[in-house]
Amino acid sequence: MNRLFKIWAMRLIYAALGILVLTLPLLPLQCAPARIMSPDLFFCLTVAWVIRQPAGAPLLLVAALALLGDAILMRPPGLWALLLVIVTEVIRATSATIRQRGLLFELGVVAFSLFIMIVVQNVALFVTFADPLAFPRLLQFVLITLICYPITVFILYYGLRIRGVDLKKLPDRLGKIK
Amino acid sequence: MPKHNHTRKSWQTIRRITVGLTIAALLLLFIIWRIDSPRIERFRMMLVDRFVPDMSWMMAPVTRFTRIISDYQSYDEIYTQNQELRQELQRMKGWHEAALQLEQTNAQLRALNNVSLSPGLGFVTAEVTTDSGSPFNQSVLLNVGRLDGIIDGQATVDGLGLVGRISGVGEQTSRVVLLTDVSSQVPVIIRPEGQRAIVQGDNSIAPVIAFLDTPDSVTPGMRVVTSGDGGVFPADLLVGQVARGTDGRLRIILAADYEGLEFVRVLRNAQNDQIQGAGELVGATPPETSE
Repeated sequence: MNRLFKIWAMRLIYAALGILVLTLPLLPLQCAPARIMSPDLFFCLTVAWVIRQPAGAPLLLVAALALLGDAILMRPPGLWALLLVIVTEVIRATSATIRQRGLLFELGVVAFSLFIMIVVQNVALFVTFADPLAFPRLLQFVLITLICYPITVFILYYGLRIRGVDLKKLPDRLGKIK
Repeated sequence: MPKHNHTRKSWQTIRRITVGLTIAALLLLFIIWRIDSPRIERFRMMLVDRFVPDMSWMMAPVTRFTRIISDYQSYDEIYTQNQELRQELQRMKGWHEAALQLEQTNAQLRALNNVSLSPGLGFVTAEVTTDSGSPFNQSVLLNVGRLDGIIDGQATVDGLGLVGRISGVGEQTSRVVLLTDVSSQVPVIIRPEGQRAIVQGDNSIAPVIAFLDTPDSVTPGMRVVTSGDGGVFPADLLVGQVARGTDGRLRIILAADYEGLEFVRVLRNAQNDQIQGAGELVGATPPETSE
Protein backbone atom coordinates (compact mmCIF):
# COMPACT_ATOMS: atom_id res chain seq x y z
CA MET A 1 0.00 0.00 0.00
CA ASN A 2 2.71 2.40 1.07
CA ARG A 3 4.80 1.30 -1.86
CA LEU A 4 1.92 1.87 -4.29
CA PHE A 5 1.28 5.32 -2.87
CA LYS A 6 4.94 6.20 -3.29
CA ILE A 7 4.95 5.14 -6.94
CA TRP A 8 1.85 7.16 -7.76
CA ALA A 9 3.19 10.20 -5.92
CA MET A 10 6.36 9.88 -7.97
CA ARG A 11 4.38 9.68 -11.21
CA LEU A 12 2.42 12.75 -10.23
CA ILE A 13 5.59 14.72 -9.47
CA TYR A 14 7.12 13.54 -12.74
CA ALA A 15 4.06 14.66 -14.71
CA ALA A 16 3.98 18.05 -13.00
CA LEU A 17 7.71 18.61 -13.53
CA GLY A 18 7.39 17.45 -17.14
CA ILE A 19 4.66 19.97 -17.90
CA LEU A 20 6.64 22.70 -16.15
CA VAL A 21 9.78 21.90 -18.12
CA LEU A 22 7.87 21.78 -21.39
CA THR A 23 6.15 25.11 -20.85
CA LEU A 24 9.16 26.93 -19.44
CA PRO A 25 10.64 27.75 -22.86
CA LEU A 26 7.26 29.12 -23.97
CA LEU A 27 7.65 32.18 -21.78
CA PRO A 28 7.73 35.19 -24.07
CA LEU A 29 10.85 36.72 -22.57
CA GLN A 30 12.79 37.10 -25.74
CA CYS A 31 11.39 36.57 -29.18
CA ALA A 32 14.63 37.16 -31.03
CA PRO A 33 16.53 33.97 -31.88
CA ALA A 34 18.73 33.30 -28.90
CA ARG A 35 22.49 33.05 -29.29
CA ILE A 36 22.60 30.17 -26.86
CA MET A 37 20.20 27.40 -27.73
CA SER A 38 17.78 26.15 -25.14
CA PRO A 39 18.35 22.55 -24.05
CA ASP A 40 15.72 19.82 -24.17
CA LEU A 41 15.12 19.67 -20.45
CA PHE A 42 12.26 17.23 -20.84
CA PHE A 43 14.66 14.71 -22.36
CA CYS A 44 17.08 15.17 -19.42
CA LEU A 45 14.30 14.85 -16.88
CA THR A 46 12.77 11.74 -18.43
CA VAL A 47 15.98 9.83 -18.98
CA ALA A 48 17.37 10.67 -15.55
CA TRP A 49 14.07 9.61 -13.99
CA VAL A 50 13.82 6.36 -15.92
CA ILE A 51 17.37 5.38 -14.97
CA ARG A 52 16.71 6.03 -11.27
CA GLN A 53 13.07 5.13 -10.83
CA PRO A 54 11.77 3.24 -13.87
CA ALA A 55 8.36 2.84 -12.23
CA GLY A 56 8.06 6.59 -11.63
CA ALA A 57 7.99 7.45 -15.31
CA PRO A 58 5.77 4.84 -16.95
CA LEU A 59 5.69 4.36 -20.69
CA LEU A 60 2.27 5.87 -21.39
CA LEU A 61 2.97 8.97 -19.29
CA VAL A 62 6.27 9.56 -21.09
CA ALA A 63 4.56 9.13 -24.45
CA ALA A 64 1.68 11.46 -23.57
CA LEU A 65 3.94 14.22 -22.24
CA ALA A 66 6.34 13.94 -25.16
CA LEU A 67 3.42 14.17 -27.57
CA LEU A 68 2.12 17.25 -25.79
CA GLY A 69 5.62 18.69 -26.14
CA ASP A 70 5.62 17.92 -29.85
CA ALA A 71 2.31 19.69 -30.22
CA ILE A 72 3.07 22.89 -28.34
CA LEU A 73 6.73 23.24 -29.35
CA MET A 74 5.87 22.97 -33.07
CA ARG A 75 7.93 19.85 -33.66
CA PRO A 76 6.88 17.25 -36.21
CA PRO A 77 4.13 15.52 -34.21
CA GLY A 78 4.95 12.03 -33.01
CA LEU A 79 8.54 11.83 -34.23
CA TRP A 80 10.47 13.06 -31.20
CA ALA A 81 7.96 11.34 -28.90
CA LEU A 82 8.49 8.08 -30.77
CA LEU A 83 12.27 8.31 -30.47
CA LEU A 84 12.07 9.25 -26.82
CA VAL A 85 9.77 6.32 -26.07
CA ILE A 86 12.08 3.85 -27.81
CA VAL A 87 15.16 5.23 -26.05
CA THR A 88 13.50 5.23 -22.63
CA GLU A 89 12.31 1.65 -23.16
CA VAL A 90 15.84 0.50 -23.96
CA ILE A 91 17.23 2.43 -21.00
CA ARG A 92 14.45 1.11 -18.75
CA ALA A 93 15.40 -2.45 -19.59
CA THR A 94 19.04 -1.79 -18.69
CA SER A 95 18.53 0.78 -15.92
CA ALA A 96 19.96 -1.41 -13.16
CA THR A 97 23.20 -1.92 -15.07
CA ILE A 98 23.51 1.76 -15.91
CA ARG A 99 23.04 2.67 -12.25
CA GLN A 100 25.75 0.27 -11.18
CA ARG A 101 28.33 1.62 -13.58
CA GLY A 102 28.30 5.16 -12.21
CA LEU A 103 27.53 8.64 -13.46
CA LEU A 104 30.19 8.88 -16.16
CA PHE A 105 28.97 5.74 -17.87
CA GLU A 106 25.41 7.03 -17.55
CA LEU A 107 26.40 10.31 -19.22
CA GLY A 108 27.98 8.31 -22.02
CA VAL A 109 24.79 6.31 -22.54
CA VAL A 110 22.71 9.50 -22.56
CA ALA A 111 25.05 11.21 -25.03
CA PHE A 112 24.99 8.19 -27.31
CA SER A 113 21.20 7.89 -27.24
CA LEU A 114 20.68 11.62 -27.82
CA PHE A 115 23.05 11.51 -30.77
CA ILE A 116 21.24 8.50 -32.23
CA MET A 117 17.89 10.23 -31.72
CA ILE A 118 19.07 13.35 -33.54
CA VAL A 119 20.47 11.34 -36.44
CA VAL A 120 17.38 9.15 -36.80
CA GLN A 121 15.16 12.22 -36.57
CA ASN A 122 17.02 13.97 -39.36
CA VAL A 123 17.04 10.83 -41.50
CA ALA A 124 13.29 10.39 -40.96
CA LEU A 125 12.66 14.01 -41.90
CA PHE A 126 14.88 13.67 -44.96
CA VAL A 127 13.26 10.44 -46.12
CA THR A 128 9.77 11.89 -45.81
CA PHE A 129 10.76 15.05 -47.70
CA ALA A 130 10.34 17.33 -44.71
CA ASP A 131 13.03 19.92 -43.97
CA PRO A 132 15.80 18.41 -41.85
CA LEU A 133 17.27 20.60 -39.13
CA ALA A 134 20.57 22.39 -39.64
CA PHE A 135 23.49 20.38 -38.33
CA PRO A 136 25.65 23.03 -36.61
CA ARG A 137 22.66 24.07 -34.53
CA LEU A 138 21.89 20.46 -33.69
CA LEU A 139 25.42 19.94 -32.46
CA GLN A 140 25.10 22.95 -30.20
CA PHE A 141 21.74 21.64 -29.03
CA VAL A 142 23.23 18.24 -28.14
CA LEU A 143 26.10 19.84 -26.24
CA ILE A 144 23.87 22.13 -24.18
CA THR A 145 21.45 19.31 -23.40
CA LEU A 146 24.34 17.15 -22.24
CA ILE A 147 25.65 19.94 -20.03
CA CYS A 148 22.19 20.20 -18.46
CA TYR A 149 21.94 16.47 -17.84
CA PRO A 150 24.21 16.25 -14.76
CA ILE A 151 22.49 19.31 -13.34
CA THR A 152 19.13 17.61 -13.73
CA VAL A 153 20.50 14.49 -12.07
CA PHE A 154 21.87 16.59 -9.22
CA ILE A 155 18.52 18.31 -8.67
CA LEU A 156 16.65 15.01 -8.81
CA TYR A 157 19.09 13.34 -6.44
CA TYR A 158 19.41 15.99 -3.76
CA GLY A 159 16.31 18.10 -4.30
CA LEU A 160 13.66 15.45 -4.86
CA ARG A 161 15.49 12.42 -3.50
CA ILE A 162 14.87 10.47 -6.67
CA ARG A 163 17.60 7.91 -6.20
CA GLY A 164 18.28 4.51 -7.58
CA VAL A 165 17.09 1.75 -5.29
CA ASP A 166 19.50 -0.83 -3.99
CA LEU A 167 19.23 -3.82 -6.31
CA LYS A 168 18.63 -6.27 -3.51
CA LYS A 169 15.60 -4.34 -2.29
CA LEU A 170 14.20 -3.78 -5.77
CA PRO A 171 10.62 -5.02 -6.05
CA ASP A 172 9.79 -7.34 -8.89
CA ARG A 173 7.37 -6.43 -11.62
CA LEU A 174 4.38 -7.21 -9.47
CA GLY A 175 5.55 -4.76 -6.85
CA LYS A 176 6.58 -7.44 -4.38
CA ILE A 177 9.71 -6.97 -2.35
CA LYS A 178 11.89 -10.03 -2.38
CA MET B 1 5.93 -20.97 -7.72
CA PRO B 2 4.43 -21.81 -11.08
CA LYS B 3 1.38 -19.57 -10.64
CA HIS B 4 3.47 -16.55 -9.79
CA ASN B 5 5.62 -17.22 -12.79
CA HIS B 6 2.56 -17.44 -15.00
CA THR B 7 1.09 -14.07 -13.97
CA ARG B 8 4.49 -12.53 -14.37
CA LYS B 9 4.74 -13.82 -17.89
CA SER B 10 1.32 -12.55 -18.92
CA TRP B 11 2.17 -9.18 -17.37
CA GLN B 12 5.26 -9.07 -19.53
CA THR B 13 3.21 -9.86 -22.62
CA ILE B 14 0.74 -7.07 -21.87
CA ARG B 15 3.63 -4.70 -21.39
CA ARG B 16 5.21 -5.68 -24.65
CA ILE B 17 1.94 -5.18 -26.50
CA THR B 18 1.51 -1.73 -24.92
CA VAL B 19 5.02 -0.72 -25.96
CA GLY B 20 4.38 -1.97 -29.50
CA LEU B 21 1.04 -0.21 -29.76
CA THR B 22 2.42 3.09 -28.46
CA ILE B 23 5.31 3.00 -30.90
CA ALA B 24 3.00 2.10 -33.77
CA ALA B 25 0.56 4.88 -32.85
CA LEU B 26 3.30 7.51 -32.71
CA LEU B 27 4.78 6.36 -36.00
CA LEU B 28 1.35 6.44 -37.58
CA LEU B 29 0.79 9.99 -36.32
CA PHE B 30 4.05 11.13 -37.87
CA ILE B 31 3.20 9.48 -41.19
CA ILE B 32 -0.29 10.98 -41.21
CA TRP B 33 1.29 14.36 -40.52
CA ARG B 34 3.44 13.96 -43.60
CA ILE B 35 0.48 12.87 -45.74
CA ASP B 36 -2.21 15.20 -44.50
CA SER B 37 -0.35 18.00 -42.79
CA PRO B 38 -3.15 20.63 -42.68
CA ARG B 39 -5.49 18.35 -40.74
CA ILE B 40 -2.87 17.53 -38.09
CA GLU B 41 -1.80 21.17 -37.93
CA ARG B 42 -5.42 22.13 -37.28
CA PHE B 43 -5.50 19.53 -34.55
CA ARG B 44 -2.28 20.97 -33.11
CA MET B 45 -3.76 24.46 -33.16
CA MET B 46 -6.83 23.11 -31.37
CA LEU B 47 -4.60 21.58 -28.70
CA VAL B 48 -2.68 24.83 -28.29
CA ASP B 49 -5.96 26.72 -28.19
CA ARG B 50 -7.13 24.45 -25.38
CA PHE B 51 -3.97 24.26 -23.29
CA VAL B 52 -1.80 27.31 -23.67
CA PRO B 53 -4.20 30.02 -22.45
CA ASP B 54 -4.64 27.95 -19.30
CA MET B 55 -0.94 28.17 -18.70
CA SER B 56 -0.97 31.94 -18.53
CA TRP B 57 -1.51 31.93 -14.76
CA MET B 58 1.71 29.99 -14.43
CA MET B 59 3.59 32.20 -16.82
CA ALA B 60 2.45 35.52 -15.44
CA PRO B 61 4.60 35.55 -12.27
CA VAL B 62 7.75 34.37 -14.04
CA THR B 63 7.33 36.83 -16.87
CA ARG B 64 6.64 39.64 -14.43
CA PHE B 65 9.65 38.69 -12.32
CA THR B 66 12.12 38.70 -15.20
CA ARG B 67 10.70 41.99 -16.47
CA ILE B 68 11.16 43.52 -13.02
CA ILE B 69 14.79 42.41 -13.05
CA SER B 70 15.45 43.86 -16.47
CA ASP B 71 13.65 47.04 -15.48
CA TYR B 72 15.78 47.26 -12.36
CA GLN B 73 18.92 46.96 -14.42
CA SER B 74 17.82 49.91 -16.49
CA TYR B 75 17.42 52.03 -13.31
CA ASP B 76 21.17 51.90 -12.96
CA GLU B 77 21.70 54.01 -16.03
CA ILE B 78 18.64 56.13 -15.63
CA TYR B 79 20.50 59.42 -15.47
CA THR B 80 22.53 58.93 -18.62
CA GLN B 81 19.47 57.55 -20.34
CA ASN B 82 17.52 60.61 -19.38
CA GLN B 83 20.17 62.90 -20.81
CA GLU B 84 20.26 60.92 -24.03
CA LEU B 85 16.50 60.94 -24.33
CA ARG B 86 16.36 64.72 -23.87
CA GLN B 87 18.88 65.25 -26.64
CA GLU B 88 17.05 62.82 -28.84
CA LEU B 89 13.77 64.58 -28.14
CA GLN B 90 15.29 67.86 -29.26
CA ARG B 91 16.37 66.32 -32.52
CA MET B 92 13.01 64.64 -32.95
CA LYS B 93 11.17 67.93 -32.49
CA GLY B 94 13.05 69.24 -35.47
CA TRP B 95 12.09 66.20 -37.49
CA HIS B 96 8.51 66.42 -36.34
CA GLU B 97 8.29 69.95 -37.67
CA ALA B 98 9.84 68.90 -40.96
CA ALA B 99 7.47 65.96 -41.23
CA LEU B 100 4.43 68.14 -40.65
CA GLN B 101 5.50 70.54 -43.37
CA LEU B 102 6.21 67.70 -45.75
CA GLU B 103 2.85 66.13 -45.02
CA GLN B 104 1.13 69.35 -45.88
CA THR B 105 2.98 69.79 -49.15
CA ASN B 106 2.36 66.15 -49.92
CA ALA B 107 -1.37 66.56 -49.35
CA GLN B 108 -1.44 69.66 -51.52
CA LEU B 109 0.39 67.91 -54.34
CA ARG B 110 -1.85 64.86 -54.06
CA ALA B 111 -4.92 67.04 -54.26
CA LEU B 112 -3.49 68.66 -57.37
CA ASN B 113 -2.86 65.30 -58.99
CA ASN B 114 -6.13 63.67 -57.93
CA VAL B 115 -4.36 60.60 -56.57
CA SER B 116 -6.56 57.86 -55.18
CA LEU B 117 -4.83 56.03 -52.37
CA SER B 118 -5.16 52.38 -51.55
CA PRO B 119 -7.79 51.66 -48.90
CA GLY B 120 -6.56 51.95 -45.34
CA LEU B 121 -5.67 48.94 -43.25
CA GLY B 122 -7.66 48.05 -40.20
CA PHE B 123 -5.86 46.29 -37.39
CA VAL B 124 -6.36 44.22 -34.26
CA THR B 125 -3.92 44.73 -31.42
CA ALA B 126 -2.85 41.50 -29.77
CA GLU B 127 -0.68 40.47 -26.88
CA VAL B 128 2.17 38.00 -27.35
CA THR B 129 1.36 35.13 -25.00
CA THR B 130 4.09 32.60 -25.68
CA ASP B 131 7.33 32.09 -27.48
CA SER B 132 7.83 29.14 -29.84
CA GLY B 133 9.92 27.45 -27.14
CA SER B 134 12.00 25.59 -29.66
CA PRO B 135 15.40 26.60 -30.99
CA PHE B 136 14.53 25.38 -34.47
CA ASN B 137 11.55 27.53 -35.30
CA GLN B 138 10.78 31.13 -34.56
CA SER B 139 7.18 31.93 -33.87
CA VAL B 140 4.99 33.50 -31.21
CA LEU B 141 1.46 32.88 -30.08
CA LEU B 142 -1.07 35.72 -29.91
CA ASN B 143 -4.15 35.97 -27.74
CA VAL B 144 -6.48 36.71 -30.65
CA GLY B 145 -7.98 34.17 -33.03
CA ARG B 146 -10.75 33.38 -35.42
CA LEU B 147 -13.29 35.05 -33.15
CA ASP B 148 -11.44 38.34 -33.66
CA GLY B 149 -11.45 37.98 -37.40
CA ILE B 150 -7.90 36.72 -37.78
CA ILE B 151 -7.25 34.82 -41.00
CA ASP B 152 -4.21 32.83 -42.09
CA GLY B 153 -1.68 34.92 -43.94
CA GLN B 154 -2.38 38.31 -42.39
CA ALA B 155 0.62 40.52 -41.70
CA THR B 156 1.60 41.49 -38.16
CA VAL B 157 3.61 44.57 -37.27
CA ASP B 158 4.80 46.09 -34.06
CA GLY B 159 4.85 49.88 -33.71
CA LEU B 160 7.59 50.23 -36.30
CA GLY B 161 8.14 47.31 -38.60
CA LEU B 162 6.93 44.00 -39.93
CA VAL B 163 7.03 41.14 -37.42
CA GLY B 164 5.74 38.16 -39.38
CA ARG B 165 2.67 36.53 -40.78
CA ILE B 166 -0.19 34.61 -39.24
CA SER B 167 0.11 30.89 -39.79
CA GLY B 168 -2.30 28.78 -37.80
CA VAL B 169 -5.46 30.20 -36.28
CA GLY B 170 -7.40 28.77 -33.37
CA GLU B 171 -10.61 30.08 -31.86
CA GLN B 172 -8.83 32.41 -29.46
CA THR B 173 -5.18 32.04 -30.33
CA SER B 174 -3.13 32.40 -33.45
CA ARG B 175 0.48 31.73 -34.32
CA VAL B 176 2.77 34.25 -35.98
CA VAL B 177 5.71 32.88 -37.93
CA LEU B 178 8.44 35.48 -37.40
CA LEU B 179 10.61 36.82 -40.21
CA THR B 180 13.56 35.03 -38.59
CA ASP B 181 12.01 31.57 -39.06
CA VAL B 182 13.55 29.36 -41.73
CA SER B 183 10.21 28.95 -43.48
CA SER B 184 9.55 32.68 -43.70
CA GLN B 185 9.98 34.27 -47.13
CA VAL B 186 8.73 37.76 -47.80
CA PRO B 187 8.82 39.68 -51.10
CA VAL B 188 10.36 43.13 -50.57
CA ILE B 189 11.53 46.23 -52.40
CA ILE B 190 14.76 47.97 -51.52
CA ARG B 191 14.37 51.72 -51.33
CA PRO B 192 15.43 54.02 -52.86
CA GLU B 193 17.06 51.65 -55.28
CA GLY B 194 13.84 49.91 -56.30
CA GLN B 195 15.12 46.37 -56.66
CA ARG B 196 12.86 43.49 -55.70
CA ALA B 197 14.11 40.68 -53.51
CA ILE B 198 13.01 38.02 -51.06
CA VAL B 199 13.80 38.18 -47.34
CA GLN B 200 14.51 34.70 -46.03
CA GLY B 201 14.79 33.84 -42.37
CA ASP B 202 17.60 31.55 -41.26
CA ASN B 203 17.14 31.29 -37.49
CA SER B 204 19.49 34.20 -36.92
CA ILE B 205 18.52 37.67 -35.76
CA ALA B 206 19.18 39.16 -39.22
CA PRO B 207 17.37 37.45 -42.15
CA VAL B 208 19.10 37.08 -45.53
CA ILE B 209 18.19 39.09 -48.63
CA ALA B 210 18.01 36.66 -51.53
CA PHE B 211 17.22 36.77 -55.26
CA LEU B 212 18.70 40.22 -55.85
CA ASP B 213 19.24 41.20 -59.46
CA THR B 214 22.40 43.20 -58.95
CA PRO B 215 23.59 42.82 -55.38
CA ASP B 216 26.45 45.24 -56.00
CA SER B 217 24.19 48.25 -56.28
CA VAL B 218 22.61 47.60 -52.89
CA THR B 219 24.50 49.22 -50.07
CA PRO B 220 24.07 48.84 -46.32
CA GLY B 221 21.71 51.38 -44.82
CA MET B 222 19.08 51.23 -47.54
CA ARG B 223 15.53 50.84 -46.36
CA VAL B 224 13.61 47.65 -47.08
CA VAL B 225 9.81 47.62 -47.36
CA THR B 226 7.36 44.93 -48.41
CA SER B 227 6.52 44.94 -52.09
CA GLY B 228 3.07 43.41 -51.84
CA ASP B 229 3.95 40.95 -54.60
CA GLY B 230 1.90 37.81 -54.65
CA GLY B 231 -0.78 39.40 -52.55
CA VAL B 232 0.75 37.99 -49.40
CA PHE B 233 1.33 41.27 -47.61
CA PRO B 234 0.11 44.79 -48.07
CA ALA B 235 2.76 46.89 -49.81
CA ASP B 236 5.03 49.46 -48.14
CA LEU B 237 5.31 48.00 -44.67
CA LEU B 238 8.73 48.77 -43.24
CA VAL B 239 10.86 45.64 -42.78
CA GLY B 240 14.24 47.06 -41.85
CA GLN B 241 17.61 48.21 -43.10
CA VAL B 242 20.13 46.51 -45.33
CA ALA B 243 23.32 45.43 -43.59
CA ARG B 244 26.22 43.24 -44.48
CA GLY B 245 26.59 40.19 -42.27
CA THR B 246 29.87 38.86 -40.94
CA ASP B 247 29.66 36.14 -43.60
CA GLY B 248 29.58 38.78 -46.34
CA ARG B 249 25.96 38.19 -47.31
CA LEU B 250 23.41 40.95 -47.46
CA ARG B 251 21.13 40.80 -44.47
CA ILE B 252 18.41 42.87 -42.87
CA ILE B 253 18.47 44.57 -39.51
CA LEU B 254 14.81 44.25 -38.62
CA ALA B 255 12.93 47.40 -37.68
CA ALA B 256 10.61 45.50 -35.35
CA ASP B 257 11.91 45.14 -31.81
CA TYR B 258 12.20 41.37 -31.50
CA GLU B 259 13.91 41.51 -28.12
CA GLY B 260 10.93 42.96 -26.36
CA LEU B 261 7.97 41.85 -28.40
CA GLU B 262 4.92 42.39 -26.22
CA PHE B 263 2.11 43.83 -28.29
CA VAL B 264 1.67 43.47 -32.02
CA ARG B 265 -0.88 44.61 -34.54
CA VAL B 266 -2.48 42.15 -36.90
CA LEU B 267 -3.33 43.99 -40.10
CA ARG B 268 -6.68 43.25 -41.63
CA ASN B 269 -6.25 44.09 -45.26
CA ALA B 270 -9.37 45.47 -46.84
CA GLN B 271 -10.23 43.06 -49.61
CA ASN B 272 -9.02 44.70 -52.77
CA ASP B 273 -10.94 43.95 -55.93
CA GLN B 274 -9.03 41.48 -57.98
CA ILE B 275 -8.88 41.88 -61.72
CA GLN B 276 -10.22 38.66 -63.16
CA GLY B 277 -9.63 37.74 -66.79
CA ALA B 278 -9.04 39.98 -69.79
CA GLY B 279 -10.99 43.14 -70.56
CA GLU B 280 -13.88 42.83 -72.95
CA LEU B 281 -12.40 45.26 -75.46
CA VAL B 282 -9.42 43.03 -76.14
CA GLY B 283 -10.38 39.83 -77.95
CA ALA B 284 -13.37 37.68 -77.24
CA THR B 285 -14.53 37.13 -73.70
CA PRO B 286 -13.95 33.60 -72.50
CA PRO B 287 -17.15 31.54 -72.34
CA GLU B 288 -18.96 31.76 -69.02
CA THR B 289 -18.62 28.75 -66.85
CA SER B 290 -21.65 27.65 -64.95
CA GLU B 291 -21.75 28.65 -61.30
